[in-house]
Amino acid sequence: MNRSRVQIGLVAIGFGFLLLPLTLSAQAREVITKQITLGSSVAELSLLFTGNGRLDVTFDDGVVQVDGQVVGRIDPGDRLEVAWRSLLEGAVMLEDGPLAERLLAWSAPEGLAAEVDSIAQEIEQALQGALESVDTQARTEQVEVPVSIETEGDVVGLLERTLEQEAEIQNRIRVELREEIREEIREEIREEIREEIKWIARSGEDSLGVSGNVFSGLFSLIGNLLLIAVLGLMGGVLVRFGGGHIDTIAETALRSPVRSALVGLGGTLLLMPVWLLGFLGLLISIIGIPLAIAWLPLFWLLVSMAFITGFVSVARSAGEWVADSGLRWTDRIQKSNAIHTVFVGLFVLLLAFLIADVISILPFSGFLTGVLIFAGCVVIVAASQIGFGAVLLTRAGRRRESHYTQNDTGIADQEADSPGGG
Amino acid sequence: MKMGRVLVLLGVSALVAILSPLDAAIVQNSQTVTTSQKLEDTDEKRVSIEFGAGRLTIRPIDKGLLYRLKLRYNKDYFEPVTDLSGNRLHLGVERIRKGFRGIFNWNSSGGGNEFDLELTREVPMDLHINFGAGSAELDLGGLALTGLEFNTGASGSRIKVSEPNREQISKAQFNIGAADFQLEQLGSLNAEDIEINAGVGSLELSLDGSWQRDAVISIDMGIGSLELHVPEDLGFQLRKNSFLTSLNGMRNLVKEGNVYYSLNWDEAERNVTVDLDGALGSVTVRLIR
Repeated sequence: MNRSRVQIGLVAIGFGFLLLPLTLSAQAREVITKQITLGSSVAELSLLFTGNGRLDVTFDDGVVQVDGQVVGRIDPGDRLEVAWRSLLEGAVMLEDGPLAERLLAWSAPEGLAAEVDSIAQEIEQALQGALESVDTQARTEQVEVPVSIETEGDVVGLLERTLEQEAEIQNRIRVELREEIREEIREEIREEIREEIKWIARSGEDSLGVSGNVFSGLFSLIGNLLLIAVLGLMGGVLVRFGGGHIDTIAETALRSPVRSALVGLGGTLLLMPVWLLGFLGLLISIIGIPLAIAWLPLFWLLVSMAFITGFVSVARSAGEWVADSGLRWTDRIQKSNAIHTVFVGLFVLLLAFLIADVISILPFSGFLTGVLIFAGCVVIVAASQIGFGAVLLTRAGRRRESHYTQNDTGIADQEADSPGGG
Repeated sequence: MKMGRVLVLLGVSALVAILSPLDAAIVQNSQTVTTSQKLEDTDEKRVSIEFGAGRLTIRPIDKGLLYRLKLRYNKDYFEPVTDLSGNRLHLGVERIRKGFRGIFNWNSSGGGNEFDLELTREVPMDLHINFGAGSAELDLGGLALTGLEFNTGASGSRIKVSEPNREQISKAQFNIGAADFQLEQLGSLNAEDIEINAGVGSLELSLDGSWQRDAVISIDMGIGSLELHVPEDLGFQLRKNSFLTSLNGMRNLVKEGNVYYSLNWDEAERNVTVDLDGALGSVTVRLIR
């Protein structure tokens, strides 16, 4: 009897040993999803296990929750929260076994206040309960290590621990290296940006891609608008104090654009010889020596004024033309107001530049911008030459062009009297 | 002109000064979520990625995980989406509040919204990426892609295929708004038909990598520049149907009407045809060793 009981007992123990691995296998679970959230007020760990088990530990603005239940409140930034954050930061790159091991090894800092300590214990218990059945040897990155089953336990254990430590160290190094590399790259990028900004400031050029295009386009647009404003103001002054002369120049430019342009072109080509000959002529005459010194800058000042006057006059003609065009919005232009028409004309003459400025903001629109700038240059050169020629033809507006038989536009012209005492 | 620049600089400085407190407030609400999903099966998945603005990174991950995603965003304006339903995986951020401030989530140290995704090499996937604005750095090398669609608005995007695709793609599509777009080692994508639709910007395509079949690349370009880097041993053909497009680097190609051939077109082991339909811009072809 006793012997049979012993036999039954041994058989039972034998079965027990046979079933032990199966039982352990059934209990062991894996982490399927891991989510770690770190924000200024939030530090949350969320794990989903095989078999729909889950663990949620949340620190949210001082409120601590375990699996959705509030377990207490702490001051934000408390030592417990700092320790929890530190744990999560270290666990971000870990999976499976190393993750479970890291979480299980965590313990709250010592010397916490009683209430906080009870919260810490709740968290530790929750971690213990959720992770104790996770196989801490399991690895997501399957490291193939030939471990002989026959090898003695101590050696195997030592080897496994070494491998775990190595994996952990590798993870840490990876995280730290990544951070260092990121920081270095950030610093390099910052330095490069600083250098480029300095370079742009020095050279006035730009090549910073989209942002460079935006700044360049804006600068240029503002520059052109300022140019219109300045020329418009000058035009206003000219119209105010030399109305009749401007009328004459504008009329000549409008009626004889080709003739004016040819005269302007000839005049432009002769500027340098005239300047030099004038200077020499004044030098030769003894009385002219003081005048010769004044001649050098005065000549160019007069030429500049002539060009500006001519350009403003052409702008005025262009403004009047727009006012008469009958296009939409043009009815708002007051043709009787010379300053108004000058401003409109300046906008028209510089329109290609303004559009080019706006388009250049778009990346890689260099070709179209170039075409517009070219068109703008043609318009400006033509307007300048016509204006300058008209100034020369009318002797700065003092003498109306006479003896027209047929003007450039084919309209029969009438002989006119010279206004302004010319 | 200089006065104008000074005014603009003053304006920008003032704007920066005004926005700085706002920026600091935004940083306060910046949140980082790291999510990983264990690889449970190797069934083909449709992976869709949605990211509005910021820095997008995608690269392969070694075996064991389906994906690992690190996401930084403004929690006041967005919430993360990580949804695996059957064979559909949806990753991204969803806008939960209207407003402009949280779009980029920039902070003083240069950080901002981040979408750093690692994807498994083990699972065949049909990958769809919708990326609004910012910078994208994608390494699709070694992934098992059965389909690819990349849509972006205004961004600087660089996509490389550092290792051959483990699967075959019948059609890969890239839709680009206004962007600086680079595509490297295109041959390793293992795609038969590649379609690129670009609005405004610059495209740089490197036709290196390991071509496993002949391919056709259709490029529909609005305004911008296109630079093609063509390996010398690859048979290359450019069919141009464009308006106001300048061509550079065609010295080494033979012209027949609107078609340019490489000298080795008939002998090359693999041939790639580029169908270009562009409105305005420049095309440069560079031969590489």
